[in-house]
Amino acid sequence: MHLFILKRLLIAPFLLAIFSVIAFVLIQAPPGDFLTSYIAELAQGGTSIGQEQIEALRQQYGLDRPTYVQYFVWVGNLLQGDLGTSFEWRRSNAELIGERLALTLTMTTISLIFTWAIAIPAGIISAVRQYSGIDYVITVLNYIGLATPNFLLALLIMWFAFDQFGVTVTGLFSPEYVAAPWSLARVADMMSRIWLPALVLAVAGTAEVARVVRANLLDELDRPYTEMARAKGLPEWRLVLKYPTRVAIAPVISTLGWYIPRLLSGGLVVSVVMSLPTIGPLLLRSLIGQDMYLAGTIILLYSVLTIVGTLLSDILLALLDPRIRTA
Amino acid sequence: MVISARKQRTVRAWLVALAASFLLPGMVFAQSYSEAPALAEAVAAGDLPPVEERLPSNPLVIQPVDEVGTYGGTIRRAFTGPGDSNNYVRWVYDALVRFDSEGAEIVPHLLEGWESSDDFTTWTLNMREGAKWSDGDDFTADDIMFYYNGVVLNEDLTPSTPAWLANTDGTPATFTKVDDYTIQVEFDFPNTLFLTELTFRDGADRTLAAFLPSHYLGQFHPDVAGEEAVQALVDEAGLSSWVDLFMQKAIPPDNADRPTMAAWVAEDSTVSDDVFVVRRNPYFIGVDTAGNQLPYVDEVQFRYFADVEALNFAAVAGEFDFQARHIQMPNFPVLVENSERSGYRVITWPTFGGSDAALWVNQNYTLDEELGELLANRDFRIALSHGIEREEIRESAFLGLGEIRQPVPAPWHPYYPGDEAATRYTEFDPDTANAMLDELGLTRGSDGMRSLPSGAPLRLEISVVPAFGPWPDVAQLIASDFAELGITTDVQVRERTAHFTMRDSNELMMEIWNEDTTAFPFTGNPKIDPRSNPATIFAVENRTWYETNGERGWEPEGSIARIVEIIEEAKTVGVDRQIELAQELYTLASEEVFAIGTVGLTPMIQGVVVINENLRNVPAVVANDWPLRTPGDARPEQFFYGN
Amino acid sequence: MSHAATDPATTAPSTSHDDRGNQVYVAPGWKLTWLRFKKHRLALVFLWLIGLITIVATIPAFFATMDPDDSRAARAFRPPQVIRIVHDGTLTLPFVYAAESARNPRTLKLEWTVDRETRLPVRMFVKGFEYELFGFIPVDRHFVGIPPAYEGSTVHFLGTDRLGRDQWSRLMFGTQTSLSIGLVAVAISTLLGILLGGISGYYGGLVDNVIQRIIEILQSLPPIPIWLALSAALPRTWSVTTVYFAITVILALLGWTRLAREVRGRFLSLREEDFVSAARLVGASKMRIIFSHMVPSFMSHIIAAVTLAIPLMILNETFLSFLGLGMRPPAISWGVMLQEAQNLQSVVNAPWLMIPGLFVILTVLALNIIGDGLRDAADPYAN
Repeated sequence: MHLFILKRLLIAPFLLAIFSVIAFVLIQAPPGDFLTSYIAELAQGGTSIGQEQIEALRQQYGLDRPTYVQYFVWVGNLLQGDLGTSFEWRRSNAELIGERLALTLTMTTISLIFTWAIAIPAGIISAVRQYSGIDYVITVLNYIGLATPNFLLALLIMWFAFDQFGVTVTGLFSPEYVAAPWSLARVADMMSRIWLPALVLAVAGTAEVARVVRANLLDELDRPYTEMARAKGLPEWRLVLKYPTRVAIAPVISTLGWYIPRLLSGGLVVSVVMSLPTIGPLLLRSLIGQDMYLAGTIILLYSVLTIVGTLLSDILLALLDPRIRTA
Repeated sequence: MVISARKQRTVRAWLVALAASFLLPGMVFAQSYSEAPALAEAVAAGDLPPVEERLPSNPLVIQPVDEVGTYGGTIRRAFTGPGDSNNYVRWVYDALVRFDSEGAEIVPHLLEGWESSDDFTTWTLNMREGAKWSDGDDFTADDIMFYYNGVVLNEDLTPSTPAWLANTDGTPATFTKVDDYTIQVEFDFPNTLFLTELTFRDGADRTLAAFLPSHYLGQFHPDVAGEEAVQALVDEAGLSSWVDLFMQKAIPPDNADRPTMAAWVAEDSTVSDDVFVVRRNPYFIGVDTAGNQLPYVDEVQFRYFADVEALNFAAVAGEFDFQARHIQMPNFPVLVENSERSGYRVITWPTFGGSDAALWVNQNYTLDEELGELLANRDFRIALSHGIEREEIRESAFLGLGEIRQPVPAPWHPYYPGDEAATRYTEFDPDTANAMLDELGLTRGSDGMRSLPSGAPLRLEISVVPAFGPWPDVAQLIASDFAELGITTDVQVRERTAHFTMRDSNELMMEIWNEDTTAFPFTGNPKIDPRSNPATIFAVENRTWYETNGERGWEPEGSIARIVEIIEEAKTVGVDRQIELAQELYTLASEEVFAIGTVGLTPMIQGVVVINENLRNVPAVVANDWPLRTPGDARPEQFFYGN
Repeated sequence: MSHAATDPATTAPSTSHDDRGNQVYVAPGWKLTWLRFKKHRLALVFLWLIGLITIVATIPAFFATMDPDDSRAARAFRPPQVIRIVHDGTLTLPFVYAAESARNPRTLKLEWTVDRETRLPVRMFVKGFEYELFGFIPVDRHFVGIPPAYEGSTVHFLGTDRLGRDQWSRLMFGTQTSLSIGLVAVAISTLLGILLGGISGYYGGLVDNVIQRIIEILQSLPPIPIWLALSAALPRTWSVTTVYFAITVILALLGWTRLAREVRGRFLSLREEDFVSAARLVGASKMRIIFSHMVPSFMSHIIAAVTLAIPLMILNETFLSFLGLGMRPPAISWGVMLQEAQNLQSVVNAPWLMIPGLFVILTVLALNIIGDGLRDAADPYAN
């Protein structure tokens, strides 16, 4: 077990190196660079900048250097803990990502709680009443959640909230709190809005979790120990909840690690539609605008979280399942 | 669209103003001035000099649109990030001289007045005595001379002379400080367009304006502060050159410390923040007719939106007090329907002439020689023009607003070439179109689709960017009209950067873009000028020819060469001849149909205006164009909240 | 548990009907799966639905009432027309009421008023616009529509969009595009998945390691930059159709990892099964072992996995369109239609433009439930 963790930890730097190369290649793949898109943006507004000025900017941003040099400059800075500066925002990437990270994590964590709160009971009921009417209803509802395009749901809910209750839900803060410093009132204001995008996000994930719980629980319900308990006359609900459920939700808990990267990237669509200050729209915008160091840094951050998350999952899995631990 | 009677008045006045020397009549109000309550408190507390000392001896008097207003309140607006800093540029319209709200006349702003020599080679700029920057420092001739000596003549900052200051031999014009409040600018040719160019030099723009706070920016300039001192600052900031540092400090939307002359100034935020806030400038030079220092409104907030659709949603929900930029015209019905309960009103400001969606045809297409010749054939373009059912486009894409027209100036503008030119070839007439296409040897095959004379299939492509509202729809409607004529037409909806890159590499056959520069054919980057950059796909090889002084590209011939001649002549002649030339230019343009116009004079571009129902003094009619910095030309300084 | 009692696999030996027992006994693996699948009634219902959708996707023009690109400003934003059979209290043949549009001078909205005097009959197998069935048989009959005698009148079961195009007809054609993208993309990624997963699982060792690392890396990257990079790498001059195929391939290239993992897992566990060892012992070749023994034994799993992969592809197609990276008009797909409905004016004033979303939901739901049913049915150890 320790050996296994050690091995994974040793591989991690190599994986990261590979990821950084892939991230860089991906960002460089579209034609042009940040200046191309910047010039296009200015031109659409009717402003033009001279060729000399463009060349000066290109030099200033280091875009005139060969790609591999740009890569090593980036990685070199990263190794020194410098996440670089965004071309578009003219601010440090650490700052830009930092201020969105907390909000992103809050939103996705709440959505994860929603997902489980819906999915685990749904999975249990589904399994206990397999092929019954309620099983079908739950299955269908779960899949409707999965099947509804997120962006559609977000827009519909936004309009519904405004039209029926006069509540506007764009952004994570009411206009008066957007620029305000953190305070209890601001947190309360955020909480009064954050549940909606979190719910929209949660809806999409319930089907998967519910299905795992249902399948696992069905397995467990057929095991001898369950039969035994039943034979001993334990009431069905207590019986189900006491042992099989614990075993059945173990894999759900152990895959918690896999959610960690999703905490970052999840909710991109919802965030765009509802104009939420999370990481997703920042990544999308930086990719489209070829703000490469910002995009690269976010992708790399995502990769790090994936590696950490997978490792965490493996450890949790091992702890929960002795068969793997001893292997 | 209803065009107000006020607008029918010709715009001749501003052109005439150029010919005669212009001096503002002396200050009529010798009385004392009033100021916002918060400022009065600061004065009382001794934190601020009294208003009389803050204002110039001859302040700018802004005539309120309807009534003299009262102080207070915040205007909430939206923007879409650092790339949208023009949002702020347009709002403050911080220039030495401005256009008035009808786009009719150039009026004094930071300048008190100007004079020109009879031959237009020498211009004298008169500044306001006692005017101050937002930090209280004097605004004098030194601030314009700093721009000239420190920026224009500095090769690091300005490698080549800006076109608007260039003499015929390419050297920069000569600036001379006559006294603390007078500057003389001298050209080696009669520059009749100098004043118009001066209106485009915004203090807030990313390109350096013609006046800079020398007392602040001097510390970052080696000529003023000395090389060593500046280098120390460069090192401290971890930058590579003093130019980087200077540019970082010089642009107001990027640096809240940089003093400006605008009515509102940033205190602690920039356009990189989630909310960019600008507050009342206590030293603003303007007063209303009752002597109240402007602006009336305390504060303007620009809130960041990553997505335009979400921004429009917020507009419907009444979260903005004044917003036209990024409001999408197709949302007009939704906006109006919800105006009452969300507490706003909606008005429309149509575009200032031209066409809001024109089909630009590449005159230099090189990827297929035969097709290139066809696109350059005037009869082919006329046939295409007759094949477009414009009424459908107007109804489908423009909510039935606007007028069917070719891209020529608006009827109320002196440059208007007449109704015949404006409506030339716009009649939907498939029979004529088909006959002309047959004449060109484009025969129909068994499937009804035409081939080129060589037998190769005729296949056109329209490239379109979803930049302004309904363009992709316009492209599709045109493509299906062309299909009716037997011309297979593909529509390619492209992302902006891809489209611009292809434009520069001359890979596009045709594109949908607007023609919004018809009122300014001789300044800036008029779209009809083949030398403009950015421009459209219309004549890329010709542009290259001019850029490389004939080394590469194609030498323009015929009408395109004539366009350049006209523009060059207009830069040196008086008003009457300019009008003649402009009319000739647009008559020629409509005959050649390089750009096939569809619909114009709609509120498509920043023309659907959502206004808080309590916000007063917003003019019902404003000339709406980028060179006029709309809504800056509506004079936001005198907007106020009534009850 | 009640579900175990009716399982044919367990009840078969004890049944009194010998032939039925025999039949089950000799049935190949897929047939056993089918018998078990049939018990999942919900899945069975949805299978019918998918069958219907597939028919539509095969011959969309037959079901369309109009050319999907036929636009007309005066027809814009028309609400769906209800097919009625009662007029003035009497039962008649199916018809729809005509309607008139006028622009509201204040809001500039195109408003519709139903004309209860004018009835337009709705009939089956009427003549309409010409098209080519399967691409070569010229036909002008349509499943349903207005008889040609009412030339100039149109019927819009699902309303029209902002350009006055018939949404029903567009939906029919969009079904073809989206479903075929889903199917082709899944087919490609299944091939990749079986091939790479199979190699990985059967050979193990270094090959396995390399393939597994590739999968891990692909799964560790956020999908958006990959999509963006790939779709930006598409030549800008490609036509709408070429882009359509390219998008399919992009979806496939990113979609195979899950399947490969699943296949590999199956291989790993099957490798140790008795029947494989037996085959190996009697000297069967590797290829024979893989294709005659191993693949058939988990074919039903693959089918289940594939069924579950299609809806993901369909959703991804709409998602790509939302981001502006997918197909673009004038192509018609569910994603394109939804993207066009993704704005305020549609949500507020033309909610029927969201109907394609219902189709996406229904199809994704159906395929998932079928896939679920198949998976349950395919697992010999399942309850």
